[in-house]
Amino acid sequence: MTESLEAEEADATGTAVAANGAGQTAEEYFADLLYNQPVMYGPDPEIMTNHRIAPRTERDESALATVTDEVELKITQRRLESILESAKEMLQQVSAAPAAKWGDLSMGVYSLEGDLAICTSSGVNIFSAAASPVPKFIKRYWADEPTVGVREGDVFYHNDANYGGVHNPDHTLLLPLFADGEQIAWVGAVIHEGENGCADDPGGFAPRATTPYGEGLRIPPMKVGENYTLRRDVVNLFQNHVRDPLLWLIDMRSKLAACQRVEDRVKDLMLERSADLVVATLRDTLESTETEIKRRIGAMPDGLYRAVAFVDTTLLEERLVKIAVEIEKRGETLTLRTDGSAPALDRAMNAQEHMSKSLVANDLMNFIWADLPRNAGYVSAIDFDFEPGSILAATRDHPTSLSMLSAFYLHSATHLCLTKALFSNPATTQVIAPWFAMIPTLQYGGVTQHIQATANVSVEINAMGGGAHPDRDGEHAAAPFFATLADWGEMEDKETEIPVLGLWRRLAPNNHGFGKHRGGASVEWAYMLYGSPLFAFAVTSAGGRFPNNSGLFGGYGNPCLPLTVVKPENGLEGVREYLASGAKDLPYDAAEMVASQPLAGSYEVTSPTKPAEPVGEGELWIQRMGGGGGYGDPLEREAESVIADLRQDLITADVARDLYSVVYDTESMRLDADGTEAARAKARKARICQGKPYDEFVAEWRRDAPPEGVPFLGAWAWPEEE
Amino acid sequence: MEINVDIGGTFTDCFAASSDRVATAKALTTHHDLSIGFMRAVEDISEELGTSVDELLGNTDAIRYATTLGTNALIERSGPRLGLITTLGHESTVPIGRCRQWGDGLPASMTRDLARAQRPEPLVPPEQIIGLRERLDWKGDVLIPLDRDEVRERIQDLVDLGVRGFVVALLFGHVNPAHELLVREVIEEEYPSAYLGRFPVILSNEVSGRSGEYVRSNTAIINAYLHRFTADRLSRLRDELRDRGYKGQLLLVHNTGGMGGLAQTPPLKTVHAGPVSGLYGSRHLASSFGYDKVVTTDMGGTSFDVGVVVQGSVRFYEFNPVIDRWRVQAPMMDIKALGAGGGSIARVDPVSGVVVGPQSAGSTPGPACYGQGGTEPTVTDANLLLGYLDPDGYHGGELKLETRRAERAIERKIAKPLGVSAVEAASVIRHVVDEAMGAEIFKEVTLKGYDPRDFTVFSFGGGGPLHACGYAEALQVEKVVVPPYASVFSASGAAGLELLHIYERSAWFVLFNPLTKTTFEDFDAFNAIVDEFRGQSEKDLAGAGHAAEEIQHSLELDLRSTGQLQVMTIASPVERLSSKEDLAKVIQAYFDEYADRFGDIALTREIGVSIDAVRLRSWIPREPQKALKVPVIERGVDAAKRGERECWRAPDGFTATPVYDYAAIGPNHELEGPAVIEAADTTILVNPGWSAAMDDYGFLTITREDR
Repeated sequence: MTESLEAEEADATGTAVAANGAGQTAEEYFADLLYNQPVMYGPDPEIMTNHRIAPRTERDESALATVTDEVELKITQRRLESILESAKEMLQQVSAAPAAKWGDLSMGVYSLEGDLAICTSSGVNIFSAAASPVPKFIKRYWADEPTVGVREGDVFYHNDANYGGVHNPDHTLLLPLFADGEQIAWVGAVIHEGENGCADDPGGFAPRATTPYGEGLRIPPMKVGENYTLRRDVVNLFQNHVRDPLLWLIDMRSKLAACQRVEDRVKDLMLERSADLVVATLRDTLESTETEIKRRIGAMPDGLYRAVAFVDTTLLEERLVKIAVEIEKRGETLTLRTDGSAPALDRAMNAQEHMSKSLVANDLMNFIWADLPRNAGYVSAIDFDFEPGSILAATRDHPTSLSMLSAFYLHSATHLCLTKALFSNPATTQVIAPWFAMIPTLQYGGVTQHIQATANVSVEINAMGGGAHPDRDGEHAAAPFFATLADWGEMEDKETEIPVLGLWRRLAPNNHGFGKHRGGASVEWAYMLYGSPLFAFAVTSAGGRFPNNSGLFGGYGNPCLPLTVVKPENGLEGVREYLASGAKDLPYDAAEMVASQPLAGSYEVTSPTKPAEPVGEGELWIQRMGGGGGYGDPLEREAESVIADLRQDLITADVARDLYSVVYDTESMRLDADGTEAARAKARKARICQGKPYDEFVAEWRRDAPPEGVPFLGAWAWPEEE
Repeated sequence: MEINVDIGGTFTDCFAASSDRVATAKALTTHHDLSIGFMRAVEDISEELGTSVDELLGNTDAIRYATTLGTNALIERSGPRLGLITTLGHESTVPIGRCRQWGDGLPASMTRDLARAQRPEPLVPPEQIIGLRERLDWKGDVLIPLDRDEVRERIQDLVDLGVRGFVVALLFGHVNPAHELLVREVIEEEYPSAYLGRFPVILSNEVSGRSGEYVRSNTAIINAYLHRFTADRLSRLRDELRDRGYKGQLLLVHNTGGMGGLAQTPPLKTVHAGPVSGLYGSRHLASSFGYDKVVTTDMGGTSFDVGVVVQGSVRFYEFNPVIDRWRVQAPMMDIKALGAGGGSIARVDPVSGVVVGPQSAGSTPGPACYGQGGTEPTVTDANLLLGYLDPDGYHGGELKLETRRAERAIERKIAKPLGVSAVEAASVIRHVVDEAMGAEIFKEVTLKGYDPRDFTVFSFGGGGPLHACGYAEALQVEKVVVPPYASVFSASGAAGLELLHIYERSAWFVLFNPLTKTTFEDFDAFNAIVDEFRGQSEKDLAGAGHAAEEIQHSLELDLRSTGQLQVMTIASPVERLSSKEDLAKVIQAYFDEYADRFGDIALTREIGVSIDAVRLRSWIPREPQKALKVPVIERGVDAAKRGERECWRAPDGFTATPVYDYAAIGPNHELEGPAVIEAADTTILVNPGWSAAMDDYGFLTITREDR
């Protein structure tokens, strides 16, 4: 600033002072004093709410200008993808985090501006929409900060989901990628690590937390190493906060090794081709993905689509927590609103805005338009309008370690809206009923029969049932809805390694949505502690009393999934005796088990939200993973298919009779075609008899408030109805 | 004389060699009865050698046969109706297939969309799976005893459903087979062979000694499924060969890299045997020609098989390979089959641009240029349009190619959407497929912890040598070797196979535990397994006429850091464990292998290490097959030049390119790229900046000169 300019400004305000000798005006002085001396660098609201890919930079422009053949961009994109897939597979193998073993990890290359541009497509896809804020923060706050800086070989780390990422158990390691002394991109690895030092709950999730301070270690994006070397004192600080310091040590190393491998390979690629080509490819991939998503949105029919879902727990008490989704599609604009959803709570199930957006992106990536490269371009093409204070747009003052509980329901409701919108536009989308989307899975930890420490989420999480199709049934126990290929391994390996005995784990009857085409079923699992006196079990889920997801176009949703705990009277010895006698009356089914109580002991049927507690040997926890939603009217299901379901124990006789109206010989299991036709005609007639004029129906069914005694959170009506 | 036959999807290759002669033949594969194609190939060989089939067979000492019989039966679902008997409560294990089964055997591009997830038709329908009320724990102790009466009743249920074979796979049956044996006993009691005929009863503990009920069940199911099919057809072929004068044994190539007679060959071992013999042949060649690290590439009509050979390494086995769509538990030489062959179809994707494969036009209707009704643009169409293929010389001139059809397909499906000319589009297809093959090789090699740039590419199969320089460039590999008889290379590889047995079993030995500060001490338990395997191998190989002292053994251990997924196989530095020093050697060998593969940073010694499985490979070493020198050709390389053809290359466009006759190239001939070398069944392209030279044994080494 020149002296004359300073003089002019001083004249204009008339309050020229030289308070600090720097020639500032008083306004500037106080602005600096009040606003420019941050106590700490919290999450940047602009970064956290802006999910658009950053505008092209001059560097992007100059890089793109060097590309003469577009094919080179596509080939480089695929080259980067295979570099990432190879490194991800290595990371999956060498990390210690239990969740990483079944694919809860991701690797990516980010643009210099921080947008995740190319990401692994195996593993968990939610990351690809949530990860960008982390490098954006580093770039904005640490790159020019003299005490930090970003240099080649620097290692950055992060887990606080208020700065980006899915939730605090996910840890991100980032390396800046340099070419000839200039930073051109970022390389990152994310793993769901688990243990975070939460006050009450081991394992990373904190169902009992009521503030963020109960959720354990919260690392904002920070430098943890230089010269590709982790600072042992920093690692030690982290380890000092958590129950499993070894896990942290192994996985900070394994993520660094994997990122370094990517960095090496990308550097080779740049040496062979050019840094410009890599920069141009990252930009092109982001832009072309976003453009294509917008084009596809444009091809959908305009309209307003709505769906609701209800979480039946706050983790600490039973409540009906409303998740409302409205999708408005006009031209190439698709706006998602959640008005009317429950408010944010002092419970760990709140989701931050970027987490909610990521779940919407997950539905696009895994179900709606799965063919495009996974990157921030997906979410960038969508408009969001979250209600402030909503459970789906939580602030950093809310606990969020179990944000999945609300956000997974957002996923199911979004899926319903999008499939309804795309029903008549199936070119690139298979319209299917909702996939099961919750985690009724055993969590466990303790000392094994080999005196080794362990803590893990059991792999039944991978056995979610698939939604039914317009032309076929859904797939049984096929994948978690957020990772297309996930493996539940082998029971023999599990029992050999840890002190559990899987008494049964099989597709359970009626554990799917019924319909013209039924949803894919899932399993009921029964784990008994076997071989260790020092072990704990836990389950953190929802849907024990109110179903998790619905069907589509007349199809049914999955049933409720409570948890059953059996504590045998005489511990393991009692169970041993019972089994050794042949266990002839063991029903291999939770409900029948509770009804017949073949083993002396206590039987508890409860909400599937049970924080970690020590269990005794012989204690049995039984729970069902959910099935997918059904599609279409059950009365339209091929009667032979109903008989096949019966033969395979996928449904019970009462469902065949009452829901499908199928008549058959119970001895020979032969279909009675005429009888079925008559039964179905009768059922249809009964429906007609139930019919009534619309106004009458509304008058009878409409309620202006939730029923007495139903603890309800959220708006009762859609906004314009209020 | 020795005859080696390899049956592929399109062609049946035959390679016959004596101490001074080599003959090769290629016949069309006869899918309805593979032995017809087999005999045709043998007829062709006898013609080439100027003798009759009977005389040739009478003078043949060994016939080695790599068959795809098993794979076909699986794909066609032509096996028998089977019943699966498992532990009650776990009847869904096989239908669920570890959840991810819907994606097993599919290319990555087809496993991204959950809305399209669909499992294949099962080999055993769920109605034919029954659970028995019984249970063993992980140590094999009986928790719920098995009731003989219940077995009887439930077996009857299966028989009532019309099953024609039984697979018994009970939890921990591999640790304690008592319950599985009891089931067999009851079946045999109730249904003596006169009643059920030759219906197999396959017990899971007899097909695998390793933990993993899903993969072990699948292994047993596939063996049962293919049992009768392979036994019938192969014994028919054996009988036909005997009738025509062959006195030796019909040796079947195993996917383990070994071979055996009919009786020693469970059907599963024949699956993928062809590519394995190619990989095995490459191992021998690589070792005799001093190449430490080789990636083998075999490009045929529909697929591109990649294998990795590193001398002295054990990283080339896959222990849970996927057969068709089924993950099994059997050590198999690791070959990745990718959907990139001459028939792979190109399309335009809105974001990824031109994509090639995995869809293939196969051999029917085939590429558009075949004129058999195909309208989709394929890699072969692109090669033809660019001038790399001679329309009149394809497959020795047997199949006339129509450039016009290739052009039309590419024009309509690729050029128009891209807004470029048809040749430019063809060039993009070629570039994309080369890069895609390069990327897949990259993944295979880096996953095993190696740097692709340290490797030499061996290229064989009908389509490989036309693309080898292309994918070598994508990988920054500087050397490509096209072996002699490249188009029947897999068959020739079988010539070096040895009698091999692999014994393995799951174990759980914690070698050191930092939590308890203890080290492994139960050496007897470990050594008992090794001794048992050695005894078994001596017994098995004695049956083939070999004394114990002829056998070579290699002890391998699967090791794992506590809590990690990665199970790493190492060649054990000790034969038995007798001291703490031995134990330290094993642990250190693991650490070394780990650091070599994943880098020092990823190695955390602070956690314990366990043995997951023990494996013994026992084989009878053979004198390596002697490479035969190829005849010296007096005339210079220029005499091999057939003329020039216009071939398209970016950025110059069509350029006159010399075309050579492979048959007229001999030892010490050298030529510069760009050049096209035409052999009867393959075309070799030497890219600009590369040069080719043939050695005394017929190996054409193509080296990058412009770097």
